[in-house]
Amino acid sequence: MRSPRVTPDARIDITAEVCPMTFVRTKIALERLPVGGVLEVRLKGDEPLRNVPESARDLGHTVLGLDRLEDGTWRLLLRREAAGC
Amino acid sequence: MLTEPQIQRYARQLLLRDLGEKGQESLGAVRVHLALGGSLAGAAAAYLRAGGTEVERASTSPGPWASTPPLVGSPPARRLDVLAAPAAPGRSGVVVGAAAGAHVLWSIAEEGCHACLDLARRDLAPPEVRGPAGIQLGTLLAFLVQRRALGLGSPLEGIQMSREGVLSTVSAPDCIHRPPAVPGSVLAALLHHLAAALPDEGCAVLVGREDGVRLVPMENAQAAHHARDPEAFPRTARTAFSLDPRAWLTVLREADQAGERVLAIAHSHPEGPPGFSDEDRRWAAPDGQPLLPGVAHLVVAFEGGRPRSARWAVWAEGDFRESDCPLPAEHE
Amino acid sequence: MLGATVIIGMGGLGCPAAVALAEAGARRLTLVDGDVVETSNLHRQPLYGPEDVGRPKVEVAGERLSQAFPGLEVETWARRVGPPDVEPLLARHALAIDGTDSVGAKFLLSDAVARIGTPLVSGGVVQWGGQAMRIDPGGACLRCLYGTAPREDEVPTCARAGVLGSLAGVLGALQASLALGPASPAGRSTLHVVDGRTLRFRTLTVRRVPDCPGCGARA
Repeated sequence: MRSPRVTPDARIDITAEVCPMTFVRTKIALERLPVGGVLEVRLKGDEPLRNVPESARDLGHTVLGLDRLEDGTWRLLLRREAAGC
Repeated sequence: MLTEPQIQRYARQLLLRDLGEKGQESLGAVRVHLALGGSLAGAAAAYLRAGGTEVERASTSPGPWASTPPLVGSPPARRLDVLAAPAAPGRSGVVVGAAAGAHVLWSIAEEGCHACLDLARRDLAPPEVRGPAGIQLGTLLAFLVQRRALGLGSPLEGIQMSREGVLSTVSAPDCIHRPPAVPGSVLAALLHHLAAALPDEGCAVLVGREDGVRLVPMENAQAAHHARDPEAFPRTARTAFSLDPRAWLTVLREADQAGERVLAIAHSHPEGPPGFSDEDRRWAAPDGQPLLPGVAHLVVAFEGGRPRSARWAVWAEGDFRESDCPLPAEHE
Repeated sequence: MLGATVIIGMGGLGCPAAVALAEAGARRLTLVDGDVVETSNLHRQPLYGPEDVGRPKVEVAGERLSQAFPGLEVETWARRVGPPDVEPLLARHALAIDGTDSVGAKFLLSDAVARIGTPLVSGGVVQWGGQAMRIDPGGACLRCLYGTAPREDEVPTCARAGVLGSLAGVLGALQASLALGPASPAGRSTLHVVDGRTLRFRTLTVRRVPDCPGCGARA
């Protein structure tokens, strides 16, 4: 899913994390943003790829895009919604 | 903001929907004063500390629990009391008691009605905890305290545990110690009705339930009484109001049929004074006891044909307690 | 009096269940768990402290329980229960408590009740809710309740879903109460459901399904 050209308000890198810390970091980062804020998450591996976008959607946030980067990691863009954390 | 050690410790809790960083900080912002003993207190303290809340206990023996001190950001500002019946928390907390072989836990928020809690815990004896019941009650207690710290749940909520350990919710009856919450639109309709009665006092009844309040406009029967018998009824409708008994009975019957109750009687003072007058007081509680228990009184003071203020008077613990009723915006 | 009881899984459910049984005067408990204590366990498994991280759970729990309850004999198994372990483990005990967190393990244990004849108190907690059910030989089992076992990823695991420690405590203690209580009437089991968000507690009767693949005659 090609991401829209948007400048994230915050960035986190969870390539070194394992479950459940992958989503814990993402959840906290989202909660710290104002509603409408955009979070960029750099992630790596099957499990985070499966779980992080879906868990973010579960909470009511929006997946803006998911790009594969040259080094094999992924860049996920999430928009913080009012639904809460 | 949480520190790294806090994030590591509370990770699985931070994942909970409705409990994120702010929730964890709320858990740490409360200090629980536990005035209980035994396995009940041991379990409650262990779970509260594990979850990130500081606990102060009289006894220090932790039992089998590790009783790890919580990781808390800054010293907790709020206090929560946990006690055994018949004591009650001063502001916010949980009381545990026993009744007819079962145990009951009542949890009250700061904004909860303590008069209601007093009614609820009236027949509770101190808890008699034997064997595994202490662990069940202790964990339930910790759960209720955490809900309070997180700002979840109703201002007064309870759980009952049978002798066999079966759990059920106990509900507090509708609070009659406070003015009912009246939606702006109903209040506006009331003001309109009272204004239409000017220069006489107007009156009305509010009926309903927690989730829906209805206005029943009434006629001021004082005019008719005075016209019929000026000696027995010296005051006119300008300075007094009364409800026709038949109209009143109709209101009661219809409310009953609809599963509602009478929440309040409202009347106006066409030219001030604001608030519950001595006359009003004598009418509402002729012998020092409320004529209509559970019914609040609302007095709207007018000036120059416009509503200026509204005051509630609610009977609680031996007297009428007055409070302000904010007028809907367009009437200010 | 409760006979020898085995607690399979010494996590969020097993810890409070073990303590509750000990408080009830249990004389023999077997604790089974292959995991070591991790930091992320501490918020909901209050038998373990930061100083215990890295040690096998059953060792730490065994020590704490033995110290606090002198009359209690504790046996520990520091391994994960697999299919070959279930039958001998259940056969040696008067009752079993399911403190596992995997769907597979729960159904494995439930299926063994009718074959071995050892009652099992099943239980689970996720997010703001939980369930517990006592399964007796002749009573309804997990397959009577659910039909087929849900796929592992249909049910959110702890990792994604999150758990409140005190609620796990409530469920584990409830499991212990059910263990200490009477057996279910023939052909039935009672499912206890806890909704921690609305603070509602329900009990539902589960009826045994004839020819159930879990507990039926051909199981």
